[in-house]
Amino acid sequence: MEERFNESVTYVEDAETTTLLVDNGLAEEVASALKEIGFNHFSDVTVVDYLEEEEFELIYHLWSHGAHARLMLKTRIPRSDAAMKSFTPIWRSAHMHERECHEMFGIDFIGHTELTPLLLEDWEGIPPLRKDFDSRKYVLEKFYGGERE
Amino acid sequence: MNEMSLRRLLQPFKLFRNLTKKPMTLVFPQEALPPVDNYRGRQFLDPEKCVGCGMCSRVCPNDAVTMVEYMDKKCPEINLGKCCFCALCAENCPTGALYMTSEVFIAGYDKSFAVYGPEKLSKKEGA
Amino acid sequence: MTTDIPFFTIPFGPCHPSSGHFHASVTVDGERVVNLVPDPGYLHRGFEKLMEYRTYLQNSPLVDRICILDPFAAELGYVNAAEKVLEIEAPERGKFIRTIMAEFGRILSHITWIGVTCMVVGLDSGCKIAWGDREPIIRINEKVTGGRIYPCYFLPGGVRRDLPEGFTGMVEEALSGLEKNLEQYDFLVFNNETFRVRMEDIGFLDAEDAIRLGATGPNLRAAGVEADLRKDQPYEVYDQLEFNVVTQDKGDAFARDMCRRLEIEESMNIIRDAIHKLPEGDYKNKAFKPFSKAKKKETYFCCESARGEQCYHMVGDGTDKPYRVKVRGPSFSHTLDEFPYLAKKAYIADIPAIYWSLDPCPADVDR
Repeated sequence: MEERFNESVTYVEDAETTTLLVDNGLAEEVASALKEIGFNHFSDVTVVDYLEEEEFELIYHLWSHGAHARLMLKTRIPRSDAAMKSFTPIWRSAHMHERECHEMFGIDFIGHTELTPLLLEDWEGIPPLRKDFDSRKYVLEKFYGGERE
Repeated sequence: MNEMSLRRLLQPFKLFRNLTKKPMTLVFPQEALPPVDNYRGRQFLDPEKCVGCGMCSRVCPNDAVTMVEYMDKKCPEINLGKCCFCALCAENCPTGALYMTSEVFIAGYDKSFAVYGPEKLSKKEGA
Repeated sequence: MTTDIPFFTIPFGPCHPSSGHFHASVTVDGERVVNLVPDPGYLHRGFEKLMEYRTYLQNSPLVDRICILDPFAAELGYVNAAEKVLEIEAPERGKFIRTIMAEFGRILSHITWIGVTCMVVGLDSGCKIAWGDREPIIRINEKVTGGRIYPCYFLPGGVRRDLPEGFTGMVEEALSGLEKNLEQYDFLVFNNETFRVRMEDIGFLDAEDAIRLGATGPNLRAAGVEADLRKDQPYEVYDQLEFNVVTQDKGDAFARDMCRRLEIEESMNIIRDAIHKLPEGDYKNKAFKPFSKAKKKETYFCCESARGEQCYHMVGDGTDKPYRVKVRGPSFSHTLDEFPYLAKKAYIADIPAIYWSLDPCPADVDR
């Protein structure tokens, strides 16, 4: 697999995990290639919000039942225009995870059919898991009138 | 489709032997479970040993412990309404002045009842 | 048959005794289910945001509360991920104690599952007997950790206190009592004619569909796939213990039930083996202080809970609070992907049976 993507994919391996760092544009091709090799179980998609660098880092966790191997696929997208191609056509189980990431971070997944709120109801405000949302301040103002009891 | 046999149909009736056994429940409060030592119930403070370091207050995950003036030094005051009884305060006390007892019957009519100052913490009430 | 009568939507709602705290809108045509839309969110407490404001030590009582039916597995995952980020190791005795308590948590979760499934299907005696069988294990929990249901016992670097005296005797008594009671479950529940008629031949999930929809744990093993994280990627001391991986072939609801019933016996073997091999020594690593700082690392750790794969993604940034923690509960894919897929071909009366054969924990879905 390294032959196809040699220049644009960085391969990092340490004692515990193997990571692939990919550019935003190539992520989908790399993901399809990984599915063909045998990574058939999609565990999770995580988003880490780097406020100073103004980027979101998307991390996909994959597992192969046949080879008992785990892999992390990382890519970065800009914070102001957060959009990413959806991986639902490749792995069906990515559907609900991406929906949750959209709700909690505000990332738009292009090609996803159902980006509606999953866990929160009637939430108006910025997506709550971003780093510029202070949940302690919000709770104090809304429920306690600004003072600790 | 499974074959219905009379034997399999009547099998659950073997449970009737449970009628002769002692029930698993206890009639509370006449028969209560015996208290276990090391149980994480209410805290108990020994004010003589407390040095006022504030470690219990810094380690509490819910901010339930505040330090107040008592006997010329600072001692902890615990708000049991916020406490989750995890015993991190008792474990990290350097002198052993704060430890957990097995008292669990803490109830009152007012929210202010739940705030246990140093004086109330140092009294052991009857079981 | 198409008529002018529109389809009717009923809630399989959060106040229903057979759904836990989970809501699904079921669209029915007569007795057949046409569509099922899951609607989680009643138990969302915001753990991921809460964990960013607390240190690594203060998070360990918090993690119990993610899924109360199997708290030891949630704690085990958190503690191992935190150890990797803080770069400390737990001693051998600490790891053995953690493995023993994790297996007790698995047995407790499976017994609770038997109780609730019986109650939902209508077999109320099974529920009451199962709740009584939990009691010896809860008393062991109380003696060892100090709390009946919420253990708050694991710590990055080991466990909080050592095992009490008389632990081995208590464990033998509890396990032999449980073995005698397992026969009761066999003739009351698993060989019971009515229970089998309700559970067999519904909710078929074959291996290909299970992997495609993201199933893990007993749901996947009941379809014939031998996938168990304790053997595939051993953590703690599972590589030193001997046990078998339980699989079934058929893939229907009853196969999933049998898978869990046989896993109780395997867990008992693991506990006996681990107690036999328990070493002496320290039970915790003294290098972990209440305000220890993490390194700038990130890690992903998966452990096998009673329901499937419980994973933690942790990012450390050099301070004493984690920068980001993501928890993946095992029931996330089970209730949101597999349950709608299996319920589409079923009758209304089969819905609770299918739902509980997947062993969901709504708290895992929402966290």
